[in-house]
Amino acid sequence: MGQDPGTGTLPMPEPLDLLQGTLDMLILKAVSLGPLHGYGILLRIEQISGGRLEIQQGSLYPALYRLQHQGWIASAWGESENKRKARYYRLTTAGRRRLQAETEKWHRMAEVMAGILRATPEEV
Amino acid sequence: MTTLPSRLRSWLASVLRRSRLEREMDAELRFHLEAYADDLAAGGVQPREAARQARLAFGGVDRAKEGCREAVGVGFTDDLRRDLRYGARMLRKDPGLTAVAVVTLALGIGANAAIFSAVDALLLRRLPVADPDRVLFGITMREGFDPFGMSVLEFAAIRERNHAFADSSVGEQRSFNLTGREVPEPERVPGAAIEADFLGTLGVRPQLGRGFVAADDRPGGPAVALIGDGLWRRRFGGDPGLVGRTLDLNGRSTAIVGILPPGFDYPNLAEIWVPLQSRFHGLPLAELAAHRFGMVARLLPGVSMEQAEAELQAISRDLEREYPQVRRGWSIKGMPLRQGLLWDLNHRVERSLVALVGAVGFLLLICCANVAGLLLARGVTREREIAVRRALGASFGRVVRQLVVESLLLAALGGVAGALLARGLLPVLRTLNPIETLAFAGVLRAPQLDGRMLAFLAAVTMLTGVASGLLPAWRAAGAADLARSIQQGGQRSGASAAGRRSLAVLVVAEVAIAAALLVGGGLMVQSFQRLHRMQLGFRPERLLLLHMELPAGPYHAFPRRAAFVEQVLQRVRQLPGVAAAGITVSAPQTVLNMPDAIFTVEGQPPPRPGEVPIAAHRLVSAGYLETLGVTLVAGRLLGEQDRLGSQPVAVISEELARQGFPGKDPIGKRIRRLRPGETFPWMTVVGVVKDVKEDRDNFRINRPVWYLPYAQQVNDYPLDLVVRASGALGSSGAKESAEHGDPARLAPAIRHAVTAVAPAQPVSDVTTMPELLTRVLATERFSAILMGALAATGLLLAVIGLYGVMAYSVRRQTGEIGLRLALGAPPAEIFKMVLGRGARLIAAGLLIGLAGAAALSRLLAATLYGVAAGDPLTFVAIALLLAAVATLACILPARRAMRVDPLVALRSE
Repeated sequence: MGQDPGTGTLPMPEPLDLLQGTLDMLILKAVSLGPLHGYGILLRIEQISGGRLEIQQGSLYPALYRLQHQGWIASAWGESENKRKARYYRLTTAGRRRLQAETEKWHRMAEVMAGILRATPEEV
Repeated sequence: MTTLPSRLRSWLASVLRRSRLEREMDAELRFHLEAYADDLAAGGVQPREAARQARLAFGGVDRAKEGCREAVGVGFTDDLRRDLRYGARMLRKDPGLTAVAVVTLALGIGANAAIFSAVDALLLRRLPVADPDRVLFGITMREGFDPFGMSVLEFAAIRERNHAFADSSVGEQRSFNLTGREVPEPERVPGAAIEADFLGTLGVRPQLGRGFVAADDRPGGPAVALIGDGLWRRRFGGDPGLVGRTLDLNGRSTAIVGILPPGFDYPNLAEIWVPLQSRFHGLPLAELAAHRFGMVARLLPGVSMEQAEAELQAISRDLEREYPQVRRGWSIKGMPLRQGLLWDLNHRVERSLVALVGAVGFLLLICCANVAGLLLARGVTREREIAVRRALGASFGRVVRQLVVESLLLAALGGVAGALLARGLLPVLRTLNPIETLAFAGVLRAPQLDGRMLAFLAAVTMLTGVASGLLPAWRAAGAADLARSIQQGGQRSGASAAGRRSLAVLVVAEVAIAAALLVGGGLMVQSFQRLHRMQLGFRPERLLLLHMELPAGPYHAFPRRAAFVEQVLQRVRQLPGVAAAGITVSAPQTVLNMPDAIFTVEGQPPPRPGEVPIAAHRLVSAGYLETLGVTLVAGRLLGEQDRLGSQPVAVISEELARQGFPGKDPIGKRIRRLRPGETFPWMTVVGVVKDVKEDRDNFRINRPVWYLPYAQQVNDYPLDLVVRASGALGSSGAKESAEHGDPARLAPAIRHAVTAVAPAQPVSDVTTMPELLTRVLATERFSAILMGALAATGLLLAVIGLYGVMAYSVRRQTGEIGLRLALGAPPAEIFKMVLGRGARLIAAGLLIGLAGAAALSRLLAATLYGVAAGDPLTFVAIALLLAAVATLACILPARRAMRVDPLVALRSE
């Protein structure tokens, strides 16, 4: 039947919103410590999470493209350690502000959640 | 903080450099996989195995790429491009349908674009003055008469007492004989005398030199003038050195102080402006009350046009109290400048234009309905393809989107063709455009294919595409039973209820709109016909008119004027081809000069306040009335014996006889003119003629007119020479020789005759009476032709559409019909069934359409003459016409239904 013209590709599994937001933050944080290419970002996230977080490789690049589309990160082509061409991402000023704002929001949320989860039947 | 700017930039960059996006994405992901594989290999895995593991761990590369594309927003453009390519392929596969649809849409879109452009030029486009919506145009009105200009009395009062205007100013129409060495041939140029702040009120500044200052405008001030851009380029080659030179205007050496910007020719197509240099105080009352001026005023910020108008009317009422002798029955009227320029006092022009826009919009709706019908029919043949796509996961919205893109593509093709059509129509519209404007013809009468029109075209095209495509797309995409469709193929017997409803809606809509269009067209055509056949009171055929203004200097003494008149007539009458000639101060239906006089009848009590006995004041030579071909009702016409020194006489019109001498015989009675501060001799009425339509704007009524011998009335009015060409009607009834019949051919000889009497006397505004009348009725003729054409086209399209829909509907029901026939139903019953259904829909459409037309036609009421907006005869005739034609369109499909072969129909089931 060949390429179906009307439907595009088969539908993708919807990423969990929370996961998407978290991934974004992780990427911004990783890049805030210094410019990296995509693979490097992956490694760094695993590194700073002490190996406790494993990122789905397939969802990394769409996230990177989205963040760049929105202006939080910017990219430039450069040379990797082994002299191969790679695209490097860095945090923009707007991105830095965004990371800060999101981090604050996360902390606040964590406090609120912790408070709720700590509540005993008597306190309610 | 909004990410919109960044997203837009990113999207744009991705779309424009699509291949680069893909390459870089490729390279990036490849690098990632290689890096990962390297790391694995460093841990001891074989390179090839490492590569494989890397790919597995990554997951779907293509899926990731698609995700990236979505993230950047090119997914949407991708889809669009795919839809367009697919749509184009579908359209190519069915060239017949595509061609018909495109032509239909092109017709509708093109007509709309052309009309929009013309209406835009007249009603919307910017005029070459500052902020034209805040400029008021002032005139005065008298009950039952053509509007007049402003008098000093009124203007002075307005200036002193108003609170609505930042600025107000007057100007007077003048014309100038441009003579002298600079000018090879004497030319009469229209112009104006304006106050110093006239241009300032309009916000217009000269492009070279300076405007007028207060010092220029005092009585006895310098002879200075401003030249218009057109004249400057035409006669003086755009030479900037003209500023500072002098020209001979009306025999007076005048210094040119400035050139006005292009496109500005206000008032009255002026090309030369001089300062008014008039006193406004200390003038005798008669002069104060003379209505010579055109007034413009600029509204103060925050004041509305209505407020200004109300104030003008209040001032007018005050003046009526203060100066009853001259102000009885007068009122002051203000209107936006544009309306004044179109001389659209009763909004007739505006209404006609709006009706036109409405009609052409209706035509487009019919076109959309036709195309929608085509698409609906085609949607069914594509049921299978769509069902398969839906089954493979395409959402309802996705399919609808793709189908709408297809119809947008059709519309786009129609739009391009329509643009070409509009471009071809514009020159036609421009020449046919009857609407005369007092000024700024360069803007008002020049519709163009410009940015605005293209934007309008684009918008209309998009709307058309959606309007004609949405319903069919909806129906097609939602084809209910997918499984059955896929199994059993395209043509289905038993049209679904929803499908039948859609078709029914189309039929009713088309009939209704066609009905409304036909009513509109029918009314306007009838209106024009009544106007055309209206009794003029004189014989217009083979009449030639020429206008002359004798300059004040050499013709200051009235005997010189009278001598001029006699000599010119003597020479002209002797020319070959001239049957008769006469001179008047204002020929019927001309607007250059329209003098009036208040009259009073001997022995009758003086007119009461509120009564204004006014007659059109026409000073004519002997033989004029015969030349015009008026009908004598009683007594005699003016003759050579009526000259200076003999008994003052007058010939009056029937209306004047009715008003002045109700129920009595006016012959032998005496009548005279009333003017404050002056006494006129009594005149004896010697003749009564049938009413002549002297007025142009008030052709719906007959005004009182009196004709006085030119030689007996001292005046300095301009002259209209009226010449009747002889017609060579052979006794055998042979055709008229064109040479004899056409009065225009006499023009050069007549000019020559005039020049022989007075060298350097310009002759202007040469036209034949039939031409003039065509111009007078031009708006009505234009509307009638256009509306008639639109109605006829609409009818044709609707009938075609109707036939198509009915034929299609029958085709869809072939199976059901075959079944019925096989079960023994007589063919005649089938025929009745099909025809009956059609007839019901037509009836519904007629009802809705005529009801709508009755409501809408009320808007036309002001523009109609001699026929009421709700004229029952028209409505009935159109109902019958449409019913008959529409039924005919249904008969063919009904007959085909009758002839269905049951075996064939059932077999294809």
